Amino acid sequence: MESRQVGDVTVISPRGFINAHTVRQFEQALTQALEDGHEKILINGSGLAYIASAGLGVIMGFIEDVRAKGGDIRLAELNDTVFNIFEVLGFNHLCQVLASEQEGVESYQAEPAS
Amino acid sequence: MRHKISLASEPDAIGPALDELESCLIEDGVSTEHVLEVRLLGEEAITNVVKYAGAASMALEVQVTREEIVVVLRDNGKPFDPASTESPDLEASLADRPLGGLGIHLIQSLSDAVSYSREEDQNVLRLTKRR
Repeated sequence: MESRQVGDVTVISPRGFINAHTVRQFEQALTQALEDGHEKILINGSGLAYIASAGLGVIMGFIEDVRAKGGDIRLAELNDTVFNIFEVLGFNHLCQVLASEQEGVESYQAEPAS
Repeated sequence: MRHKISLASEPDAIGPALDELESCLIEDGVSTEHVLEVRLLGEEAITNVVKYAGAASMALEVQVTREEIVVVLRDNGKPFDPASTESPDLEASLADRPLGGLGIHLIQSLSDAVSYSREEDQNVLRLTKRR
Protein backbone atom coordinates (compact mmCIF):
# COMPACT_ATOMS: atom_id res chain seq x y z
CA MET A 1 0.00 0.00 0.00
CA GLU A 2 1.77 3.12 -1.25
CA SER A 3 1.73 6.24 0.90
CA ARG A 4 3.28 9.56 -0.17
CA GLN A 5 3.11 13.27 0.56
CA VAL A 6 1.75 15.78 -1.92
CA GLY A 7 2.37 19.06 -0.13
CA ASP A 8 0.73 18.60 3.27
CA VAL A 9 -1.68 15.93 2.00
CA THR A 10 -0.93 12.26 2.62
CA VAL A 11 -2.03 10.24 -0.40
CA ILE A 12 -2.63 6.56 0.36
CA SER A 13 -3.05 4.30 -2.69
CA PRO A 14 -4.41 0.85 -1.82
CA ARG A 15 -4.10 -1.92 -4.42
CA GLY A 16 -6.65 -4.66 -5.05
CA PHE A 17 -9.08 -5.29 -2.22
CA ILE A 18 -9.44 -3.69 1.18
CA ASN A 19 -11.04 -6.56 3.05
CA ALA A 20 -10.73 -8.50 6.30
CA HIS A 21 -7.47 -9.96 4.99
CA THR A 22 -5.76 -6.68 4.04
CA VAL A 23 -7.46 -4.19 6.33
CA ARG A 24 -4.59 -4.17 8.82
CA GLN A 25 -2.24 -2.66 6.20
CA PHE A 26 -4.83 0.03 5.50
CA GLU A 27 -5.20 0.72 9.21
CA GLN A 28 -1.41 0.89 9.60
CA ALA A 29 -1.09 3.39 6.74
CA LEU A 30 -3.67 5.65 8.44
CA THR A 31 -2.06 5.21 11.86
CA GLN A 32 1.37 6.05 10.42
CA ALA A 33 0.07 9.24 8.78
CA LEU A 34 -1.43 10.41 12.07
CA GLU A 35 1.71 9.50 14.02
CA ASP A 36 3.71 11.58 11.55
CA GLY A 37 1.38 14.51 12.24
CA HIS A 38 -0.38 14.34 8.86
CA GLU A 39 -4.11 14.72 9.23
CA LYS A 40 -5.05 15.63 5.67
CA ILE A 41 -5.55 12.25 4.11
CA LEU A 42 -6.59 11.36 0.58
CA ILE A 43 -7.28 7.78 -0.45
CA ASN A 44 -6.49 7.39 -4.15
CA GLY A 45 -8.77 4.55 -5.27
CA SER A 46 -7.41 4.16 -8.82
CA GLY A 47 -5.88 0.78 -7.95
CA LEU A 48 -8.67 -0.31 -5.63
CA ALA A 49 -10.96 -3.10 -6.84
CA TYR A 50 -13.35 -2.80 -3.89
CA ILE A 51 -13.57 -1.96 -0.23
CA ALA A 52 -15.38 -4.43 2.03
CA SER A 53 -17.15 -3.60 5.29
CA ALA A 54 -13.93 -4.17 7.25
CA GLY A 55 -12.30 -1.27 5.40
CA LEU A 56 -15.36 0.96 5.70
CA GLY A 57 -15.35 0.28 9.43
CA VAL A 58 -11.74 1.51 9.62
CA ILE A 59 -12.65 4.77 7.84
CA MET A 60 -15.56 5.24 10.26
CA GLY A 61 -13.25 4.50 13.17
CA PHE A 62 -10.62 7.04 12.14
CA ILE A 63 -12.58 9.89 10.65
CA GLU A 64 -13.75 11.51 13.90
CA ASP A 65 -10.22 11.56 15.34
CA VAL A 66 -8.80 12.96 12.15
CA ARG A 67 -11.46 15.68 11.97
CA ALA A 68 -10.96 16.55 15.63
CA LYS A 69 -7.33 17.28 14.72
CA GLY A 70 -8.39 19.60 11.92
CA GLY A 71 -7.90 17.08 9.11
CA ASP A 72 -10.10 14.79 7.08
CA ILE A 73 -10.21 11.54 5.10
CA ARG A 74 -11.25 12.10 1.50
CA LEU A 75 -11.32 9.78 -1.48
CA ALA A 76 -10.60 10.18 -5.16
CA GLU A 77 -10.56 8.19 -8.39
CA LEU A 78 -12.98 5.51 -7.19
CA ASN A 79 -14.07 2.90 -9.73
CA ASP A 80 -17.81 2.38 -10.36
CA THR A 81 -18.00 -0.54 -7.92
CA VAL A 82 -16.46 1.37 -5.02
CA PHE A 83 -18.46 4.50 -5.81
CA ASN A 84 -21.64 2.42 -5.86
CA ILE A 85 -20.75 0.87 -2.48
CA PHE A 86 -20.26 4.35 -1.06
CA GLU A 87 -23.54 5.53 -2.45
CA VAL A 88 -25.72 2.63 -1.34
CA LEU A 89 -24.25 2.76 2.16
CA GLY A 90 -24.50 6.54 2.42
CA PHE A 91 -20.74 6.94 2.79
CA ASN A 92 -20.79 9.68 0.19
CA HIS A 93 -22.50 11.80 2.90
CA LEU A 94 -19.81 10.85 5.41
CA CYS A 95 -16.73 11.44 3.26
CA GLN A 96 -15.98 13.78 0.39
CA VAL A 97 -15.38 11.90 -2.86
CA LEU A 98 -13.43 13.76 -5.55
CA ALA A 99 -13.00 12.86 -9.20
CA SER A 100 -9.20 13.04 -9.34
CA GLU A 101 -6.21 13.02 -7.00
CA GLN A 102 -5.45 16.58 -8.06
CA GLU A 103 -8.96 17.71 -7.11
CA GLY A 104 -8.60 15.88 -3.81
CA VAL A 105 -5.31 17.63 -2.99
CA GLU A 106 -6.72 20.99 -4.10
CA SER A 107 -9.81 20.51 -1.94
CA TYR A 108 -7.53 20.72 1.10
CA GLN A 109 -5.57 23.67 -0.26
CA ALA A 110 -8.78 25.63 -0.78
CA GLU A 111 -9.34 25.60 2.98
CA PRO A 112 -7.82 28.08 5.41
CA ALA A 113 -4.89 26.60 7.36
CA SER A 114 -6.04 25.15 10.67
CA MET B 1 -23.89 -22.17 -15.82
CA ARG B 2 -23.88 -23.58 -12.32
CA HIS B 3 -20.71 -23.85 -10.26
CA LYS B 4 -20.10 -25.22 -6.79
CA ILE B 5 -17.23 -24.20 -4.51
CA SER B 6 -16.65 -25.97 -1.20
CA LEU B 7 -14.58 -24.41 1.55
CA ALA B 8 -13.61 -24.85 5.16
CA SER B 9 -14.96 -22.27 7.60
CA GLU B 10 -11.61 -20.60 8.29
CA PRO B 11 -10.08 -17.24 7.34
CA ASP B 12 -7.40 -18.69 5.04
CA ALA B 13 -10.04 -20.39 2.89
CA ILE B 14 -11.85 -17.14 2.03
CA GLY B 15 -9.39 -15.70 -0.52
CA PRO B 16 -9.00 -18.84 -2.67
CA ALA B 17 -12.79 -19.43 -2.68
CA LEU B 18 -13.40 -15.85 -3.81
CA ASP B 19 -10.75 -16.18 -6.53
CA GLU B 20 -12.57 -19.29 -7.74
CA LEU B 21 -15.92 -17.47 -7.64
CA GLU B 22 -14.41 -14.64 -9.67
CA SER B 23 -13.04 -17.09 -12.27
CA CYS B 24 -16.47 -18.71 -12.63
CA LEU B 25 -18.14 -15.33 -13.18
CA ILE B 26 -15.55 -14.23 -15.74
CA GLU B 27 -15.89 -17.58 -17.51
CA ASP B 28 -19.63 -16.98 -17.73
CA GLY B 29 -19.14 -13.57 -19.34
CA VAL B 30 -20.24 -11.41 -16.38
CA SER B 31 -19.19 -7.72 -16.62
CA THR B 32 -16.25 -6.52 -14.51
CA GLU B 33 -18.46 -4.33 -12.34
CA HIS B 34 -20.82 -7.20 -11.55
CA VAL B 35 -17.91 -9.61 -11.01
CA LEU B 36 -16.53 -7.28 -8.33
CA GLU B 37 -19.92 -6.67 -6.73
CA VAL B 38 -20.75 -10.38 -6.57
CA ARG B 39 -17.26 -11.16 -5.24
CA LEU B 40 -17.84 -8.56 -2.53
CA LEU B 41 -21.27 -10.03 -1.71
CA GLY B 42 -19.65 -13.47 -1.45
CA GLU B 43 -16.86 -12.08 0.69
CA GLU B 44 -19.21 -10.41 3.19
CA ALA B 45 -21.43 -13.50 3.43
CA ILE B 46 -18.54 -15.95 3.82
CA THR B 47 -16.73 -13.69 6.31
CA ASN B 48 -19.86 -13.53 8.47
CA VAL B 49 -20.08 -17.33 8.54
CA VAL B 50 -16.37 -17.73 9.36
CA LYS B 51 -16.54 -15.11 12.13
CA TYR B 52 -19.85 -15.85 13.77
CA ALA B 53 -21.54 -19.10 12.70
CA GLY B 54 -19.18 -21.66 14.19
CA ALA B 55 -19.70 -23.79 11.07
CA ALA B 56 -17.38 -26.64 10.12
CA SER B 57 -17.73 -26.16 6.42
CA MET B 58 -19.71 -24.34 3.79
CA ALA B 59 -20.46 -24.45 0.12
CA LEU B 60 -21.00 -21.67 -2.36
CA GLU B 61 -23.09 -22.23 -5.45
CA VAL B 62 -23.23 -19.72 -8.23
CA GLN B 63 -25.59 -19.75 -11.15
CA VAL B 64 -25.39 -17.26 -13.98
CA THR B 65 -28.29 -16.78 -16.36
CA ARG B 66 -28.89 -14.07 -18.92
CA GLU B 67 -30.95 -12.08 -16.42
CA GLU B 68 -29.25 -12.62 -13.09
CA ILE B 69 -26.45 -14.00 -10.96
CA VAL B 70 -27.57 -16.11 -8.01
CA VAL B 71 -25.18 -17.00 -5.22
CA VAL B 72 -26.29 -19.56 -2.64
CA LEU B 73 -24.20 -20.02 0.50
CA ARG B 74 -24.88 -23.04 2.68
CA ASP B 75 -23.23 -23.57 6.07
CA ASN B 76 -23.82 -25.91 8.96
CA GLY B 77 -23.34 -23.29 11.66
CA LYS B 78 -25.73 -21.63 14.13
CA PRO B 79 -29.02 -20.45 12.65
CA PHE B 80 -28.68 -16.85 11.53
CA ASP B 81 -30.96 -14.88 9.25
CA PRO B 82 -29.14 -11.83 7.84
CA ALA B 83 -32.26 -10.84 5.94
CA SER B 84 -33.99 -10.05 9.25
CA THR B 85 -31.24 -7.81 10.60
CA GLU B 86 -32.09 -4.13 10.86
CA SER B 87 -30.01 -1.77 8.78
CA PRO B 88 -27.72 0.55 10.71
CA ASP B 89 -28.90 4.15 10.81
CA LEU B 90 -26.55 5.84 8.37
CA GLU B 91 -28.19 9.22 8.91
CA ALA B 92 -27.17 9.11 12.57
CA SER B 93 -24.35 11.29 13.77
CA LEU B 94 -20.89 9.78 13.49
CA ALA B 95 -20.70 9.04 17.20
CA ASP B 96 -23.96 7.09 17.06
CA ARG B 97 -23.09 5.01 14.02
CA PRO B 98 -22.51 1.37 14.85
CA LEU B 99 -19.24 -0.14 13.67
CA GLY B 100 -20.74 -3.61 13.31
CA GLY B 101 -23.53 -4.68 11.01
CA LEU B 102 -22.05 -2.93 8.00
CA GLY B 103 -21.36 -6.19 6.19
CA ILE B 104 -24.97 -7.29 6.37
CA HIS B 105 -26.16 -3.83 5.38
CA LEU B 106 -23.81 -4.01 2.41
CA ILE B 107 -25.23 -7.41 1.40
CA GLN B 108 -28.80 -6.09 1.66
CA SER B 109 -27.97 -2.92 -0.25
CA LEU B 110 -25.92 -4.38 -3.09
CA SER B 111 -28.16 -7.43 -3.73
CA ASP B 112 -31.38 -7.16 -5.70
CA ALA B 113 -32.86 -9.91 -3.52
CA VAL B 114 -31.76 -11.62 -0.31
CA SER B 115 -33.52 -14.68 1.08
CA TYR B 116 -32.71 -16.99 3.95
CA SER B 117 -33.95 -20.40 4.96
CA ARG B 118 -32.94 -23.00 7.50
CA GLU B 119 -32.89 -26.39 5.80
CA GLU B 120 -32.26 -29.33 8.15
CA ASP B 121 -29.06 -28.28 9.93
CA GLN B 122 -27.99 -25.72 7.36
CA ASN B 123 -28.28 -21.97 6.86
CA VAL B 124 -29.11 -21.28 3.23
CA LEU B 125 -28.53 -17.71 2.13
CA ARG B 126 -29.52 -16.82 -1.42
CA LEU B 127 -28.32 -13.57 -2.96
CA THR B 128 -29.56 -12.42 -6.33
CA LYS B 129 -27.93 -9.76 -8.46
CA ARG B 130 -29.60 -8.65 -11.69
CA ARG B 131 -27.28 -8.31 -14.68
